Amino acid sequence: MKLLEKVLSFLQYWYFRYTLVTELYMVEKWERHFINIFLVSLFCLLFYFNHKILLPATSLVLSAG
Amino acid sequence: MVGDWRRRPVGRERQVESQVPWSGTIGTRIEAMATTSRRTCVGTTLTEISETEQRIQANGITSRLGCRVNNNGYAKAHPANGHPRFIRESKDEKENRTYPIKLSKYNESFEKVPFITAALTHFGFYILMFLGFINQLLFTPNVAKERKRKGYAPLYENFEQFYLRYVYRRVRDCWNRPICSVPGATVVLKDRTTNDYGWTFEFTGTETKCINLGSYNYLGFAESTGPCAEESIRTLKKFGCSSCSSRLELGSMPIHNELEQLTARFLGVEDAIVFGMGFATNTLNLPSLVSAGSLVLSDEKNHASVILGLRLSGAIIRVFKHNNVKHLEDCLKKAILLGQQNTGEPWKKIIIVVEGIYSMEGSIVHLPEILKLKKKYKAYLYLDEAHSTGAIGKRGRGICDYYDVDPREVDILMGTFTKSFGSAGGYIAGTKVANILRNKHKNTAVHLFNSAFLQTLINYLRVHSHAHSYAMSMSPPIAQQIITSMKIIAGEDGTDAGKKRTKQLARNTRYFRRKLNQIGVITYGNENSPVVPMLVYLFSKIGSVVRTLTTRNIATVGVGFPATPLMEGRIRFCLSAAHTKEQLDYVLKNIEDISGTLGLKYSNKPRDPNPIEYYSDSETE
Ligand SMILES: Cc1ncc(COP(=O)(O)O)c(C=O)c1O
Repeated sequence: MKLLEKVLSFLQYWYFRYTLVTELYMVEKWERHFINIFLVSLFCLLFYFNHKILLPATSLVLSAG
Repeated sequence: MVGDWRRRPVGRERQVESQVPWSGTIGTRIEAMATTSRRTCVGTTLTEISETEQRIQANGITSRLGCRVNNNGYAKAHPANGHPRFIRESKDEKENRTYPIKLSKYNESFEKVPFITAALTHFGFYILMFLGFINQLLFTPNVAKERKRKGYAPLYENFEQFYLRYVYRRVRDCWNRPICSVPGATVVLKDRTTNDYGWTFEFTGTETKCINLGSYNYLGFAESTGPCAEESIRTLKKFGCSSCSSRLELGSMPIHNELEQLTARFLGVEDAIVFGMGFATNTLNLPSLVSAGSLVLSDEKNHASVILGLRLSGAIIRVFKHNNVKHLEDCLKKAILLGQQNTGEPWKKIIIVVEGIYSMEGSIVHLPEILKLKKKYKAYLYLDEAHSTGAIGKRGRGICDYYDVDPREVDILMGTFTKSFGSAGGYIAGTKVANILRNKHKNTAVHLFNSAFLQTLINYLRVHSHAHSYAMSMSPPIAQQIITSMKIIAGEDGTDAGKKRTKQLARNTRYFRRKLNQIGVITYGNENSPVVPMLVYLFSKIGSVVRTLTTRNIATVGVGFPATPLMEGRIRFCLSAAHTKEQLDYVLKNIEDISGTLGLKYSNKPRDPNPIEYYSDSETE
């Protein structure tokens, strides 16, 4: 239980620091969610792109070489 | 005259006129250039030329080295071809350049922003812009609208409006805070809350007493008791609160003359003129001193009032890098060589405009070097001492006192009474510029061009200054506050109360700055300047720092874009002689605390591991 609290407060703190450096600290809640979702989806798309296209492509090139 | 400077190779001429081949090469010496420069030399350097006349042998033409500027080098003729040569200042020469003043007075620091922070600041700004744009699309802003103006172009819709609504508004609670006490060492804030993210505020009815680090109350004269307050009240009863007329008409009172004489005496110059508003002192007097055809070299970080005044004047403004004497010299050289922009005629006059202490940077002007430059090139110097009069120097007389230079060497001393004196208004003080001119330029055209200066500066302003002729004269109790506080600083009241204040301020400044450095935050500026900007870079951090400090009963001011460059949001601490060591310690402890949790320790400088001493009386100097 103690550990969970510790982890939680750790996460909370670093989420706070994250909002500070991305200026999300000072915006309204929905704007914060909006940017968070935007960033997460951007990250997912990047992941998908890497996984589905970049990785096969590189492996193709490597195996051909 | 020396060879035939008219028969110069065409190519060389072109080089001079085709906008500065030597631009950017800092430290180049303009040598054979002098052959072509005669025509474009500003009038004021003519005497200089005859004084430093030197002949150099360059590609067969013996030429006069008119605009040569370095004394510590030697002229070198290029052996091979006829092109002017630019010699970089060698390392040796750089080191040999003498600084008359103890280097410790120049001890200032401007640490670079860490790359990641810079990137994040940009990124964050884009996010804010983006969100603001979306917000504006989705919701109508909660502001007043012009009615019955259908079809009109918007009167005040611009980027600034957008910025105010969607960036500044979100952290608006950190600025313009209503107070309900005298802003001395402590201040009582009137609490307010917002339910709509900063569009509107409501008072909660409670008050918070905070340590005040946000007022330009350098010497602690913002007091509701004591000699200043008492005498001001007496004057108010005697003279009323306004003359309701301008100085030139019926508004002049004996108290104004007294104040002017006292100011001149305080500064150690011949005469002074005072105005009821500091901002207007710059804005309305600069246009009467410079005009179209003059050149103004203005520091990058000059105050808005200076910039506005210069723009109004119609003079050509060249901006030099902040406190960078080298760049200033380059600009001067270039300007003198090339003359006016299109015609190449000599400038009517050249004025260097600098400030004493820069209120956003906390830096102190490098006055001795600039004075040297100004004498060498015969340019005038306009020094805005808004933040430095009273606040700095052993005797509290400002920058000239700090560097131990004669205030008469500065042509135009400007300052405000708003800061150190705890009052309002501004002054311009100066000496008889006319004499300098009359003696040195008997036969030159500059004599005519500068006819503005042929009367003594202050008398000239008394006739030509818009602020003097049209603005309401200073209110008597305001003037009295200045007189009393100035007398205290100068010791004319027969006590050493003023001296104690200047000392206390110097001590507080050193202590606070050193402690901050030890904490590991980035501070800007000179270690003796009582304005201490602490860099936090991001808007959110400005907001969070100010809010957190307020919860701990410390009131500070954040500064962000547009007052600073976009990248350099900062918290500005203004120290005061009224602060005690205990108060500063409390503040420092809290800053240390939050700099850990909010991530403000950007500094990469080595930190002093030893505890910082708060100097006792005997040790300050
Ligand atoms: C350098 C400088 N000049 C002029 C002014 C204007 O003075 P005042 O506030 O008295 O109008 C200020 C004020 O902040 C300043 O910093």
